[in-house]
Amino acid sequence: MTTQTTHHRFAGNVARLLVLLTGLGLLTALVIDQRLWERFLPADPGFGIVVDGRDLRVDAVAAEALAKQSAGRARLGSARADAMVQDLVAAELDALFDDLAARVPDYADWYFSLKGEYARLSMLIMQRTGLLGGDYLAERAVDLIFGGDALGDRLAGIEERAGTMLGVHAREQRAAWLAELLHLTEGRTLAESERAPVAVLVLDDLAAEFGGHGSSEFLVRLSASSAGAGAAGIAAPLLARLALRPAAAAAAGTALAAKSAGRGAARAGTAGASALGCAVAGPAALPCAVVVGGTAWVAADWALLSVDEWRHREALIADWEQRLTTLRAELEEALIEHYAQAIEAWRKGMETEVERTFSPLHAIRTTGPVGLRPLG
Amino acid sequence: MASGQRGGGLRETLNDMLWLLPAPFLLILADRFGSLLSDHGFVAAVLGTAVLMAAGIWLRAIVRRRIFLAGALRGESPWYRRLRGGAGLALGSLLAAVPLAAILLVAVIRPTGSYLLVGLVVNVPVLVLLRQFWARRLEAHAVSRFQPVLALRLALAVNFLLLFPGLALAAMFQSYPDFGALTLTEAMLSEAGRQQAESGLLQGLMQLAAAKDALSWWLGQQMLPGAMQPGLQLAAWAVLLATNALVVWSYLMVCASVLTLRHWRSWHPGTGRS
Repeated sequence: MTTQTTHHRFAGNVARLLVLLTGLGLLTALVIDQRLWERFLPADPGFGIVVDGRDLRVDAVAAEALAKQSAGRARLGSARADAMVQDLVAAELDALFDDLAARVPDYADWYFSLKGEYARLSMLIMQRTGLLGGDYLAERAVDLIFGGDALGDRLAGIEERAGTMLGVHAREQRAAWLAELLHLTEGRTLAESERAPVAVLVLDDLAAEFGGHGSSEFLVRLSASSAGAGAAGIAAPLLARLALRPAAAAAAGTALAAKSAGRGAARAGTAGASALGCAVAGPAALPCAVVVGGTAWVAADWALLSVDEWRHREALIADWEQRLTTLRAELEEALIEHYAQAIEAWRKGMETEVERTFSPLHAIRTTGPVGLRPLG
Repeated sequence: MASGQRGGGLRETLNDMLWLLPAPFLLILADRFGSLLSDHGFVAAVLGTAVLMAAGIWLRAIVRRRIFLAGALRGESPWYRRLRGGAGLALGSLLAAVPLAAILLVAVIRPTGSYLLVGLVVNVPVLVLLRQFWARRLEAHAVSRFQPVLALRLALAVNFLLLFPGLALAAMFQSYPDFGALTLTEAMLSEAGRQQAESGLLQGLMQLAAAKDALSWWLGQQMLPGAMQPGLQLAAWAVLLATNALVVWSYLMVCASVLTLRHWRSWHPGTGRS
């Protein structure tokens, strides 16, 4: 009797152990092997995802999350690009205009030098007589402050760096989106079902759009702008308008003529008075008058210029600094607007591609599959 | 009965393990279908889990309370009856159990690696064996009516010390999104945006948990010397570890409650007046 009871207990224990081991094994398998769910439950064929050479199968919830995540990544990536390009343009223009502002004193030196004075006077006479066209003072200012064509080169450099930065950002954007996608599908990937998926979502075009190579042609837009429609093109009209802008101490034309005429009278008076002193030189009176009168003319001119510089130099420098500040603000606004348009087109391209790629979810939602929620 | 014997036998051990199997099974179901629950369904799931946990917590608290009262108060004292643990203790247990239940369910419903659920399944025999081990070890030391609950407490503590680092170690080998190029806010919003659930309430809780995870992953990826104040890093990691510890502890509370309810008749200390 005792032996029989012992046998019964042993058999019961063995049976329990078997049930327990089976249960533990089954639970572990349910966690690890998704195919078991398809055996026990009506199989959800899910959605096929094709991207970057991978062929995945995900359930409806994951597909919906993927659509939402892609739309979010598009917004995030474009906002980030906007912020990055604004930071870069601001930093680059700060450096550029610091250099330009440092050259304004050189321009003032030239402006208040005898050489500058006679060059302006000569050019004014030649312009008035029709021998020379254009605005000499403006051209000289562009040469001395903006370094002539060097400004265009600097702006092209800014544009190149901005384009490179945005290109790298687009590549990172694509890589991050892909990593998120794989992370998102990792826990939800369905086993390959024998049934055909509800729909196959091909994400390669979307990946290309995230990388800047899609229909929005983001990278092409950036490289095309480098070819001439970009920063240098934006700067040229601003620069022309800036140089023609009237200013108190840097006035050209009539103002210069009037000032020169006033100085001329003073110079002539001084030279004449000095030359009169040569009358006592007898036969050498004429050469003496030429040398003394010429020296007195230049000395008087130098003295008048020095007075003029003492009175107006600071105003001239302040005026040009104000002009540079205005130019910087206009240039920054124009450049950011230029890139904002490209980034906006990229964002719209990505959102359109997200909408198009995941449109099967919208279509199927109307038939009411399990687990689908509206986008956004 | 066997359940009342100190240490229990092999059959008792196997029965305990079999009784515990539904706990990870239900959590696997929650992982699979939890995101399809409505608001009401999610609240019902949380309350159901919380009631189960609260029952176990309450019953174990009663044991501790009555043993204390037996040693501290005279049996005829009216305070003995008032303090022996009734609705107030039950309500307190329920209030403690509700957040634990919500944390546990949100953790398993969120799409995580399978390591968490595998860890929960494997933990079933571990907890029972630990309880048996401590029951035997305490036979010669603990007061008989306190010995089962004390053995369970020690088993839970040791089990926590095994399961928590084990899951943390497994988590180290999982793949995580690359937040290297994102700001902390972008990383948190990005991770929160991925959470999908039918229930708005559940989705909100999942987003909170996701943002917390994004915080720790971002810190892990951006951890450069001098990039952030050490105190802030420490605080963020502390939050992460604390919430993960709460998940593990919540699960252990569920298991402990199953065992407590199953053995309640034999573990009950009685009135304590005798």
